Amino acid sequence: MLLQIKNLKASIKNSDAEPILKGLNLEVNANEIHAIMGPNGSGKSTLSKVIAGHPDYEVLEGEILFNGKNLLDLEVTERANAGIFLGFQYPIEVPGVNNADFLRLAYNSKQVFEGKEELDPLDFNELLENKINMLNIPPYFIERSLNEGFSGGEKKRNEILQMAILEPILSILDEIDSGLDIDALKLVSESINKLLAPHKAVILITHYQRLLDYIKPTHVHIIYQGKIVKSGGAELALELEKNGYAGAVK
Amino acid sequence: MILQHKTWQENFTTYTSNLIEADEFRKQNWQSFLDKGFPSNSDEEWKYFNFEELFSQTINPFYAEKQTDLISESEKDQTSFVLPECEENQIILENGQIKSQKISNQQIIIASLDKAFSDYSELKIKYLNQAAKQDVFTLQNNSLWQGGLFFYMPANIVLNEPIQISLLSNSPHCANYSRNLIIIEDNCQAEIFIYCTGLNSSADELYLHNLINQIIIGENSQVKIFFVQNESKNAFQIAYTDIKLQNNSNLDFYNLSFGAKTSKHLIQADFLGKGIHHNLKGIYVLNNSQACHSQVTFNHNKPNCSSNQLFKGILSGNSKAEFSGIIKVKEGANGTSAKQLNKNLLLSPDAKIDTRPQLEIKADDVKCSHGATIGQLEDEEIFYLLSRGISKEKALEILTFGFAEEIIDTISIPSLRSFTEQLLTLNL
Repeated sequence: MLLQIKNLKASIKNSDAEPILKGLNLEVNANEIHAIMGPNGSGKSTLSKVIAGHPDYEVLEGEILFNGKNLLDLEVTERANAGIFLGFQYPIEVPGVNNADFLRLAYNSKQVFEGKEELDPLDFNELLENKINMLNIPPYFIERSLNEGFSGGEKKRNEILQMAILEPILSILDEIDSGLDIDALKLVSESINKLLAPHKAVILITHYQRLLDYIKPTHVHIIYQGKIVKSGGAELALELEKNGYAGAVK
Repeated sequence: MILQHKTWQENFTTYTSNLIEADEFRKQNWQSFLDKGFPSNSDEEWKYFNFEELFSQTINPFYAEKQTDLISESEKDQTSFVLPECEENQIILENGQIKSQKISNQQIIIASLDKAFSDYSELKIKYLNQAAKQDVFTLQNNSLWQGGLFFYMPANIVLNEPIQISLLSNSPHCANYSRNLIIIEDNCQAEIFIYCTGLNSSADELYLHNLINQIIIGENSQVKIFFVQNESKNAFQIAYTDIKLQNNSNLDFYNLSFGAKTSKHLIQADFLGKGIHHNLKGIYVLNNSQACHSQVTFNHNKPNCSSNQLFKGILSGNSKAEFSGIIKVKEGANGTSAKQLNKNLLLSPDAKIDTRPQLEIKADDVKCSHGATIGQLEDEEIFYLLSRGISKEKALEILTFGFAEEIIDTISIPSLRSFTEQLLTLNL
């Protein structure tokens, strides 16, 4: 099993408010695509951040195993290097940091972690060029500062480019479809489909069935008040679309 | 600094008797200096200056050539740092005196300033007393400078290669005085890199570098000046740059501070004609207990000029910085557009910044803005980079770099850009 989350309870660090995740269970295997849906404030983004190790959250109870290893013992950097990728709902703009340099640095960090040789700029550019061609990303993307002045759609495509470079085993894509018009949604979805592989898995966090028209999930989960309350196949998302969350969680 | 005025007076007489132009000007300034004494923190300009630190050091204001602890020829850095682009155009000064010069354009006049003043009295009348500021360090420089640099670019010269002026300090436990008069006539184009450093960069010598730059930019001239302060980490630098801009001139001035234990740079620009554009960009990168005071006065005297100031500070350790900037828009200077922004990144809870952007507007139809920010690196930015497998140390470094890049990226001389990046990395 790739990812196993057992009875996960988590809250915002140093806060008296009640936990956001209240005993969540989830199992993800290689070659699976899980869609996690749920109303606003149900804990979807929190779940993704807790898995990635965001410092604002505190795990109160439960465990997260990744390839059988306790993920909660690892730092953010180590989780990333172990093969976990979080696609941000709102990717951060980092002025002054060239996108290509950033991608090379991230790639080489992983190489070092895996005891492999770092790529020099020339070799890396070749790899980068292959990836942007594959994803139909225009060359100006990599010449600019990381996400600076990017449109919503460009930022999301840049997340997918990072995913393509880092080749994570588990990608958690937090509302990758938000802020995208139909054309961009199609582009992004096609890119994600290209990056699927039998030894990998994807968790899609989304509000809308629309994304799942393009990326077919093997599993759909409904998260509500910090727990997964219903799981099923792709048909569950269609049902949600028809009856809304109220119908699904009662 | 030892405040024994009595011995100073005797020293002054001996010291100046050997100088060219040991004249009334020196004596008057010396007297004013003695009368005035050092300022204190109640003086607005020196509000944040740590005098205790300066006075606790033994720095002889009279630099003498025959000192035993001066760095000998063999000990000097064999190759003083020169940008590759400046191989054919470099002037090296040691303790304010020209040691060597090389210039590809023979129309440009380079001479020692005292010689230029004694040969051309009209120059002296026009420029010697023109740097109007009368604070105690200026008075000291006025009375004790030696040699100096006279740099004169006649009209209609377009230089394709930058010129480097190195101001090297070799005055252990002494003050040394630099005085540079840079005149660029009409319709010129030039890039000048002014580099201040200790002559023996491997040793953290204690000295005081007292520096006055007078810069005159003629009509329609396009000039870039890169002032890099990389003094020894135990040194003091007190600098004053007086800039006069004529009609339709365009000056980009970069003030990049990395070195010195304590440095202060007052930059004053007078907009003396119409249609002038002046960009002033500053970076200060401080660590340990370094202090850096950046003070800017822009006098917008004439209509339809624009100016843009951007100062960015990166502070770690228990370093301290001051940014005091004032834009004065005089009566009749309509159509002025002036911006001033000071942004600071505090990387340590013990670092401290005092920032005071100010406006004084007496004209109509002006567009002015000013502001300051003080912040830390954003947690979300750090998390974003960490989540891509980048180590925390590297993440902090590239985010800090990114902060400075807004300025460094615009440096037009490639090797100076990478040199600046190196200095930044060394000082983080």
